Amino acid sequence: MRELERRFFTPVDGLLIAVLLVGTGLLWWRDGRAASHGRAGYRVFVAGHPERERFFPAPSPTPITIEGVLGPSVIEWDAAGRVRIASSPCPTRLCILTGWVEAPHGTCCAPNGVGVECLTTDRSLDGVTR
Amino acid sequence: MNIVARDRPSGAGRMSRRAPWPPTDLRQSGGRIPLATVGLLLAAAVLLWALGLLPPSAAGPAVETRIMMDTLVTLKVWPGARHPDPLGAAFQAMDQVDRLASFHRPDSELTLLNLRGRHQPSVWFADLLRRADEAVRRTEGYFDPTFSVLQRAYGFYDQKGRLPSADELRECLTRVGWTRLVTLAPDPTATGGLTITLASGAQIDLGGIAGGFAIERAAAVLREAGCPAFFIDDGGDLWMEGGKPDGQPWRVAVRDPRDGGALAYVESVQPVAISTSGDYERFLMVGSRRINHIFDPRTGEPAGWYRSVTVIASSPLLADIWSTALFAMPPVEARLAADRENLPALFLPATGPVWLSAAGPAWFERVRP
Repeated sequence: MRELERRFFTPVDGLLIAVLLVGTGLLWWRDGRAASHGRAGYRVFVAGHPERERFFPAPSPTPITIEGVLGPSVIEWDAAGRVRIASSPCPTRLCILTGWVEAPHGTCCAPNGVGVECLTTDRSLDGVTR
Repeated sequence: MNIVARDRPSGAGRMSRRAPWPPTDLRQSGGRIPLATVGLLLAAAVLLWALGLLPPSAAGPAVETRIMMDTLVTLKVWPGARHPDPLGAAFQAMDQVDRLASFHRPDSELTLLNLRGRHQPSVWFADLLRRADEAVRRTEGYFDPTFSVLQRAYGFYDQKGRLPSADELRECLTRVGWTRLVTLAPDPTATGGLTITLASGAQIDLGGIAGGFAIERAAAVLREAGCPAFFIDDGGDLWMEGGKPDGQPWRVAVRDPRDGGALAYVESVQPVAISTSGDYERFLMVGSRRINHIFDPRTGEPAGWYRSVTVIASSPLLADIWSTALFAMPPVEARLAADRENLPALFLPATGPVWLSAAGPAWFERVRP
């Protein structure tokens, strides 16, 4: 058995695998911030709560609710793929008044810490002034 | 395969007597690499290729979006060699500006100033105040941070929109006017080199300039980090600098508030700032009337000449200031000011077709009517 292990999985192989795993992890970590640049969809997040982040490769057919720092925010999409914050427990309501946005836009409810990022793989446009 | 076959004896037991397997020293294997190692290296290469884990400079920029300064801020950065985390450092610089100049944070220097009426600002805050002072004078008062009194009267701070009476507006206007109410006095004992004093009843809101200032601070950090190219989007106020690795120019759209499409496009290979002031993202509704957050300094009424004004400038601060100031100006004055400052500017009037400043046509492409 030991000879078999040595033949197919030796200590050097194990070391190499470990190095590869660590290296891959480091590369993921380094490029994690760039990952969104290469995919299309919608990133819904809460500032300071990375565990609540959700990614939607396509518009959700039904509104979603995400818990912000003040309470739940409701996010909804239209048939054209535009997204908006439909309700939020913020005092200002600016997020709701902002209305529908689309890539490469985003919108947020700053008091509630909820953000929606519209991601696109279209690199022909760097940004939108508004 | 032949190499490995020659390298690896068929009997493991026999090999264990002759030499350890796998060889710990390439010299023991005659300088050849074991099959398992070659296989794993190939697998790793395929894996890395499949995951797109090329160096960021080749694969694309690092991109991160955070909620800051009451809006979404996105940084797109091709990493530099002189800082391990340029994105984090740039966000930190912007957060520092927010800590200084936020109207809403109870611990900001601006809040202290508004509470006490007198303040010895830190170095950065003093710099921001000096530049606000210069902006007020250069725009002949159309950019004026003391307009916060009017914003409060219309309910922007508690979001309970209302229309103040004529008497209320007259009273408010006595507490509006930077050049009358704000004094910046040299003070060698202060770290920022000055003391600022507000007249009784006056308050300032630096929201019309703090964003541009924060972009400038972030850009300075990214430049210092050696980042070859970067793009900063602070809630739609943009700064782009450096050459993208693919050689393409920076390309941005101007949002058309009428339908959310593109009002025009701008391309640039040189560092440039683009800022838009509009009535469609920060406003209140009072009945059926839309109240936007930029005011006519002569009447105290919300400026209603335009749906949006977009300005291209050589610095984020200038773009920020001038988009606000031009938005507050009647068209004749706005055209004169934009041409005097040689600013490319795009005006979408409240009614009527889009028009450009004299420097505009060289910058704005495919302009919708």
